[in-house]
Amino acid sequence: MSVQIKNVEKSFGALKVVKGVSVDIADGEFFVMLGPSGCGKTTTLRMVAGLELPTAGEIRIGGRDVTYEEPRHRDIAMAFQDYGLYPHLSLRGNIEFPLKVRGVPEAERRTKVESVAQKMGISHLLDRKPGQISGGQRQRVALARALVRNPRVFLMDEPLSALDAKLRATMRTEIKKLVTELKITTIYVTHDQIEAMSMADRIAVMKDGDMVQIASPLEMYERPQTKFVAEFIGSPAMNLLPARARPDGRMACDLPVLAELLPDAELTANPVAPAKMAAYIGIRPEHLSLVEGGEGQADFEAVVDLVEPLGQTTNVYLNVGDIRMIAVVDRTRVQAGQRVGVKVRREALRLVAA
Amino acid sequence: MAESAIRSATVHAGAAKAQRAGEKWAPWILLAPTLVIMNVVGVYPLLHSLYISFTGAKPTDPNAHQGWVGLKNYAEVVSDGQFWHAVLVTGGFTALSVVSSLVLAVLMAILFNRPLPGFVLMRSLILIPMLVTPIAVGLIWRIMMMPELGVLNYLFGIVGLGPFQWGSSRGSALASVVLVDVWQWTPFMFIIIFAGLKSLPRSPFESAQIDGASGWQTFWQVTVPMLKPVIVIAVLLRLIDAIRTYDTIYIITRGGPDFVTDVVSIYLQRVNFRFFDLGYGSALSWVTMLLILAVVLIFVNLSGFLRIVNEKEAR
Repeated sequence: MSVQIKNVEKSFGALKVVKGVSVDIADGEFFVMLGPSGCGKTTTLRMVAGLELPTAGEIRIGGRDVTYEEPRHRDIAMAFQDYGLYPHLSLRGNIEFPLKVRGVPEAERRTKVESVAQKMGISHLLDRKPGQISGGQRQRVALARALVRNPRVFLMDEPLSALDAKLRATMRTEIKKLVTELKITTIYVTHDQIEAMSMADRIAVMKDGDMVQIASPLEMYERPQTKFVAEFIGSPAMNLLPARARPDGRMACDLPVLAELLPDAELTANPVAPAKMAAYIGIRPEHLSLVEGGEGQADFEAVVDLVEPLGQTTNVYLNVGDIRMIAVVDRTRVQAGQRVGVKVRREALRLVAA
Repeated sequence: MAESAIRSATVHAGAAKAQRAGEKWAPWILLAPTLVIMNVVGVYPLLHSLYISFTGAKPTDPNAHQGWVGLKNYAEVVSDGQFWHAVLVTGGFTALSVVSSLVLAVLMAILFNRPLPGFVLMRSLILIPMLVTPIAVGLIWRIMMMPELGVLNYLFGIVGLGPFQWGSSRGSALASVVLVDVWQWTPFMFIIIFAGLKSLPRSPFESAQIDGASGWQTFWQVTVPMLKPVIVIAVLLRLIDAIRTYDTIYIITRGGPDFVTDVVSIYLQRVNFRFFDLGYGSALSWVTMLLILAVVLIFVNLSGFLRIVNEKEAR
C-alpha cells in the first residue's frame, strides 16, 4: 500500500517537533527516515502509526485518509526500538496476539505462528517468555509478530539500535531480504546512516522537524543538497569549503582552484543552492588523490598532517594553509609532514547549500 | 632494614586480624538494641501467650483452676459455635471488603492514569481516608449513619431513598462496616496499583494498539496480566489487614446487632478482656493466627506469588 504524508505538523505544547512534512511513499517501497535524535523522525512515524495525532496535515494509507483513525483500524504493523513485547506471554502468545484479538481460529493461528517462527529461526523458543531470550531473539519475535498477519504497511522504529554491531549487520540484511520478498511497504526510522544507505529504496534526511532531502541512497551520497546532509551521510564526511558567489556568477573560495574547477553545470544543479547564495564547495574524500613527485599533474599542494591506515583504505588528513581536508586513498607511503600534490576529480565537485 | 620491614608487616597483619574480628562482631553489636527490644516486646509475649493457652488462667475468678490444663482449651475451640460463627463473619467481611476495594482501586488507577486537569489534586485528596485514625473513621461514620440524625439518610432522603438502618439492622450491618472499610482502605490499594501501573513500560500498550486490540482486550490481556504481581501484593496486604479489622467495627456496631458483625477480633477481645478468660482466649488467638497463616499460604500458592518473586530475582 502506498503512504502519503501531506504537510503534517506536530506540536507538543509550544514545541513544534514536526514542521510540515510531505512525502509520497510508493507501494512496496522501503523508505527510511534518517536523522539525529530529536529531528522528528520517530514522531512522524508514530503519526503514521496513529500513536500520535498530527496537529495539522493529512496521512493516507492506500489512498484512504487515516489521519485521525485509531491504530488498530489502519492495518499496520510496527517494530519498536525496545521491541514492545508482552512480558507475561510466551513467544507463541506474543506472535499470535494480533491474530487472537482479531478472532482468528486457533488452528489457523497455530499454522501461521509456526511458519513465521520458522522463517525467523525461533521455532525452538516458542514456549519461552521474552525475559528468557537474548536481545537479538527478542527483535526477531517482534518482527515475527509484525509479519504474522501480513500488514499493509510495516513501520520500524530503530529496531536494531539495541543490538550489538555484529548482530545489527546480520539483522540488517535479513530484514531487507524479508520485506523485499514480501513486497510490504516499509517505513524505517534510524539514526544510523549505514543502515539507511544499505536498506533504503529512498532516504529522507530529517533535521529539526523537516525533511531536508529525499533521494535514493546513491543520489543522497553523490549529490547532498545541504551541508547537513553532506556531513551526515558518508564517513569520513565530505570536504566542505565555504564559498561565495562572485559578481560574474562563478564562485569564489579559499582554495581558488576548487572554485575554478567547479563545472558550470554544478552552479545550477543543486535546486536549494542558487549560485548567488553563500554555499560550500564540496568533494568526497575518495575523489581526492595524492600525486607524489609528478609535478604539474596536481591541482594543489598540501602538507600531510596525519595518516590513518585502515587496511582496505587509508585516511590522509591534509593541511592546505589553514584549510583542513581529508582524502581517502588506497595504500600509500606518504608520511606526516610530507608535502604532496593533490589531484581533484573534477566531475565530483559539488555546490552544497549552507 | 629488612628486619624492620618484616616486623612492620607483622604488625600490620596483627592489626588486620583485629579488624577482621571487629567486623565479625560489629553486626551483632549494631543489631543488639533491636534484638533485645524485639525479644522483650515480641517474641516473649508470643511464647508466653502460647504457654497461657495451655492453662486455665482467669485472673478475675479466684476459684478457677489457673494451672496447666493441657489441650482442654483447644478442644473447646473446636466445638465453640460462637467462634466459628465469628470466623464465617470475618471471612465474609474480608472477601467483600477486599474484592470491592480491589475493583474500585483498579478502576481509579486506570482513571487517574490519564493526564486530565485537576487530577493531580484529586489524586492526593483521595489518599486522605487512609491517613485518618481508624477510631476516628468509626466515629465519623457512626455519626453519619445515625438513622434519624445522620447525614447519610438525609442525603438519601433527598433523592427519595431510605431511611436505612445502617449498622443497627441485621440486614445492613455487615454491608455498613464493609462500606466503611472499603472507604478507608481503597486509597491504600489505589496507591499501590497506581504506582504499579505507572511503572509499566509503555511499548506493550502501543504494541497492543497496533496489533489491533480493543480497549477491553488490552485491559484484560495486557494491563491486568502485567499488573498481576502488584495486584497480588496489594491483595495480600489488604487480606491480612482486613482479617484483623477491629476498631472501626467495634465503634460502629460492637459486633452486633445479633452478632452479624461479630468478627473474630471482636470475639477475641470479648473473651480475653471482658470475661478475662485468658487461657481460653489465648487458645482462640493461636487458632486464629493459624487460620490467617493458612489463608495467606493458600493465597500465596494460588496466586503464584512465589513464582513471581523468583522470576523477578532470576532477571
